[in-house]
Amino acid sequence: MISKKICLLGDFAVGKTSLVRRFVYDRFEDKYISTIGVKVSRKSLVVAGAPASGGGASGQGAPVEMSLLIWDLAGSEEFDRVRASYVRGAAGAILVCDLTRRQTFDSLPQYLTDLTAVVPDVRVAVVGNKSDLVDEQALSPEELTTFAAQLEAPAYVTSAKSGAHVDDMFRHLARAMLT
Amino acid sequence: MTETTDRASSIDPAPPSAPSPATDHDEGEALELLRAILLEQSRARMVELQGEVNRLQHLLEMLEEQVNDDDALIATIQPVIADAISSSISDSRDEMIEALYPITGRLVSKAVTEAMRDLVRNIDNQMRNAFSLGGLKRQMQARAGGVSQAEMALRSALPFVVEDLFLIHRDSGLLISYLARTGHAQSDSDLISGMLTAIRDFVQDAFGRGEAGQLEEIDYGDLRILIEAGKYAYIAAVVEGFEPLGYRGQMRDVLYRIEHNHFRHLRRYDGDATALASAQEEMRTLMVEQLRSRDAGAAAREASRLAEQRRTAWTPRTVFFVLLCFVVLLLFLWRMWSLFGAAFDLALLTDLWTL
Repeated sequence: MISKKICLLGDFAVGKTSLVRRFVYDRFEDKYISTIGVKVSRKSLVVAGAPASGGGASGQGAPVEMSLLIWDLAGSEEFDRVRASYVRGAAGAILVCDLTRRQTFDSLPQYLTDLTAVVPDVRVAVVGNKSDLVDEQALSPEELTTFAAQLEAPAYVTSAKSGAHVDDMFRHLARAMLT
Repeated sequence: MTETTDRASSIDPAPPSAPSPATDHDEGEALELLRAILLEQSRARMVELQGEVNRLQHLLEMLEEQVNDDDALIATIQPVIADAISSSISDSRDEMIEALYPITGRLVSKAVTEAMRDLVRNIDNQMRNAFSLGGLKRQMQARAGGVSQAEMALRSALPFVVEDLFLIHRDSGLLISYLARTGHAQSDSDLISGMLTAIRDFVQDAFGRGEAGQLEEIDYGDLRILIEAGKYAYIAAVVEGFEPLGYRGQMRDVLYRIEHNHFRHLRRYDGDATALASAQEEMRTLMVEQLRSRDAGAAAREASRLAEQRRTAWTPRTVFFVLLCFVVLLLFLWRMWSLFGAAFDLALLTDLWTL
């Protein structure tokens, strides 16, 4: 079993906690996010490992059992000292924005800068959440993909409400963290 | 080089008229010979320099490798740094003491505080039990067992149970190793270690104010979480009761051994605890020794009895109150005697005489 720490970053009310709730086993209540600024949840999963050198044509290694410790951080306008200590030791991070609020997308580069200042080698996934609110979209998936491509990171358009692509996104990041 | 070639050209006595092919060939050979003679030293020097460049390039590559490989870099510079520090200490002792004071001062202060706390507990315990029946019994047991009365009293009076032990990676909060008193692994131990790390970080950020302090203990009802942190990991012990003398030191020793033995894995912990499996055996010493050294039920009963004894005992305040009442009674009797005593005595003596 390999354990990895993942942090969720993004502005207030972009749906970070809802994404986690969709995906994981919760033991602690969400109130911790507003009290100490973080809540830790866990998801155990099995993913295809990194291909061994000279491996087969499939490009996949043996299955690996993983335990993702997901740190759901309180969203705020600035990256304060507390959050810097919370992202320390993270192997992966999910930058979340709300597809119906463009300003939440605009703040992602700042989150990324502050994140990589603490953990330079972190694996990142870019997520546009609330895809179910079709009529209120203020951000196109292409813009999200372009931004993610600059970071060489995967981009996902998700809906915590319907569960669309949530599982795929976490699995993708889990695999990326193994390489 | 150009100069040499020019000189060679000037020596070359080639006629301006069109020469025969045989003459050309001879002249070419002669020119080559001349070049070889004139440039031999330069060529040899060039080969020598090329060799030197290759050697330096190889050296540079090796250095780059060592600089990029943290372990190799540490191994390389460690002896030099150790020598430099030793030399600095012997040359300028006062300056070194001044520079290190912020670190050593805090460490000494922490150690003294801990030792004082242990001492106070010890004295308190001795005072409470010195003259009780239990105390006398313990004195005899201590003499028979060859240990001090304080240790004997502490052993029986303070219940102490280690419920859970966590070894947690300091930066990421990932659980490295876990032990439970019941032997059953708690399914949420990794979540607890994550949240505990978050709380530690929160306290440090909120109250640390840039200083090197850290959260050492959390109290909740009968349970306490004792935290001992190292450079790469920390141990959290969930305990019930008061830890015996030296337990924190024992935690520190175990953590030091784990960090020393698994330095490379802990420094770049990737979430795979397989290589750190032996750390659990080190941790077990913190769990098993404490459980063996006491009978939890008997100690709890003893602690309860002592508490009851303290409640019913004559405290200084009670003694003072009783003495005060006694003095007031004496004053009252003396006053009564001074008012009616003489008449009472006279009547009594007359009656006795008549009889």
